[in-house]
Amino acid sequence: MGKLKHVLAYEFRREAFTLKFLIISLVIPLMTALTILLVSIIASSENKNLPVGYVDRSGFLEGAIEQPARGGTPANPVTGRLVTFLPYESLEGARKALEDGTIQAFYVITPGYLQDKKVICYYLKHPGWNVKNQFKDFMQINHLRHLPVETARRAVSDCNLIVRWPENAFGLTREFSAAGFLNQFVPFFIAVSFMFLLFAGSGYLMKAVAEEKENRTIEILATSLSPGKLIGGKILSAVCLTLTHYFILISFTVAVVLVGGYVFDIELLKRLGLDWGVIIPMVLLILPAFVMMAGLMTTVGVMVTESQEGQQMSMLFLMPVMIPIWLSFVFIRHPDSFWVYAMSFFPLTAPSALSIRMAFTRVPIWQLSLAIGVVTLAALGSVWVAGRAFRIGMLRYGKRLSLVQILKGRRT
Amino acid sequence: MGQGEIFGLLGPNGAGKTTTIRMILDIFRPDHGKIAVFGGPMTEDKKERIGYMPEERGLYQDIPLDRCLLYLAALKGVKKSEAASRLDSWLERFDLQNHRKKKVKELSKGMQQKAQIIGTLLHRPELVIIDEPFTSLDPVNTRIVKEMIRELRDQGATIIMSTHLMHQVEEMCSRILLINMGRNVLYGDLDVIRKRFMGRDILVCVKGDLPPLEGIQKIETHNGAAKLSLREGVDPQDVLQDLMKRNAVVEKFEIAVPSLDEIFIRAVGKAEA
Repeated sequence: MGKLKHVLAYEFRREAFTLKFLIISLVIPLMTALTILLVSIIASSENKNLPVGYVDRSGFLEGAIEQPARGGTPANPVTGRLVTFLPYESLEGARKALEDGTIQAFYVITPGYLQDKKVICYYLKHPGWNVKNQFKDFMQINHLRHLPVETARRAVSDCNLIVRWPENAFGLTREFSAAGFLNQFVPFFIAVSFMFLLFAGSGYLMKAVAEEKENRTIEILATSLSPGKLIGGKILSAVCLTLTHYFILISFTVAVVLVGGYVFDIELLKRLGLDWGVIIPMVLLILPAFVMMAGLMTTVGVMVTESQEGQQMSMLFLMPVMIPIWLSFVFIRHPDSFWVYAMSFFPLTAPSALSIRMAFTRVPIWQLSLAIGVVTLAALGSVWVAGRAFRIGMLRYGKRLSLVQILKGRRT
Repeated sequence: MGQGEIFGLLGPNGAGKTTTIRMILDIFRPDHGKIAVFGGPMTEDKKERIGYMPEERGLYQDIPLDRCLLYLAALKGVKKSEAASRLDSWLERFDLQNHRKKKVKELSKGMQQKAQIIGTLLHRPELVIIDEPFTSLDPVNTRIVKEMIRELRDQGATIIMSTHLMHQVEEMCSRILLINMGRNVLYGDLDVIRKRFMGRDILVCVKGDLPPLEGIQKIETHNGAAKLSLREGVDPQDVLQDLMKRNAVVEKFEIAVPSLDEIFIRAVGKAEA
């Protein structure tokens, strides 16, 4: 155990305390934060929450009531606040308020409004779409103000359609809500992040093995500890490095969601939640997939002469993992097509294919079990091949090892 | 092999020296037969008692020298503080103290060779196996390494040295094993082997010209002396008496001992024949 710990600590330290590791860890969170920030800035610049005035020449808005939030969706996508509509007696008064900057625009409800529904909007700078939408809601609800206020609000609000699945074999259910539509993408993002884990972890392992061959250190290590401890230490180090990446990624994401939701009052972020009915099966699939990729990357690391060559060769195995992500729209639109099924049961594509399917559609339990079984078998096979490759090829310094040589078990 | 000896493992290219070493170290398994190290099969604990410097030198190129050597020592079961203190004296001895924080790849080939030797010995092994220990070393460092190997022997360590440099073997080893095509060709004490291969040659140096002598098959010049090859049945004493009879002033009379190079060529040639 002591030597395994030394290998683990050495490999972890060698990778984790580098600028490259920090950049890889922070690039996704920073890009996400930057995107949210940019969207917020653009939305804020377009959708101001300054009050909007109105001059009612028809008398329709006498005793007006406030507009509701649309279908539970915030009126302003960034702040979630409603625009206040202020009545003005005269056009001059409204114009003065507009020029003073008290209001961002004002509407004039024409005398014949009840017949021709004509409304005129005055502004110095074009108001955002939130103003237009909320004014529409404001007028609609006031058409219904003879009804009890709550009834009128409910009639005007868009309906929030909620779709629930029955409980699956794990006793877990799923819910799709129109109001919390962003939640539907959470499993997708989790699936993509799992793929990132798979890529990063297997990449670290391949590099760790290939560099041993490149540095010609394997013969010295072989006379110090058993191959099991050596590879075990490297695998654990790859897992720890990947989990560190993941921890940073998750911490940052949680921070963004909390700050965005509760400091900047972004309603969509407040409504985000985790869907364990999807996450648990994903984890069950990803674990054997990780072992499978670890075995494959160890084999690649042994086959090549330099780690750079290994990175190129590893793409042969990593590309199939990416295919379902690139084709996610096909998975969403045609979840029962032949190719979607085929990719769900091919070991290299199954982890990402099933993860995407689980994010957007309901996957029958037998398909999930079959996919987990196939990936587990592939994991066992890849570990066997990796062990064989390691035994045969690690002392072939500067020489490539072919798959045929691995399978035939030739040492030279 | 006995404790506290320097043992030479010799053989032509492709004879199986490295394979033999790898079998001793349990990197390869023999097709048949048994290998006993420290009285039994190899175990993980026994690996900590062995220091191995392979022919293909291997150090982590992208990390500082001291971190690389301390890691290798840790894998041999040496505590960090102990390894650090031993490392200081080794670096001092090999004049690498100022280079300890440099990445291994920034060191010269000779420095890397010295670092490799430190990595082999830092855990104070009882059995040291070194493959071509003097490659890339200048004469000064070759001398330091030779002294160090003798020191290790004097401290009770057993050293197996695999090399092509026969004069180094003659100088350092007490016993040798010569293998060819995976088979034992020659094994034993170096002195005994030399005597066994001692031919019928004598080296003679006289004042003036060498007089004609009886029983001589061939005369060659060797380092300023005459190398006389004696006929079958002729004793060196007979030649000396003959010289005396002819009033020759003898300055040197020596029975020629074959060099290890000659023994090597003869033994391998005989085995291949």
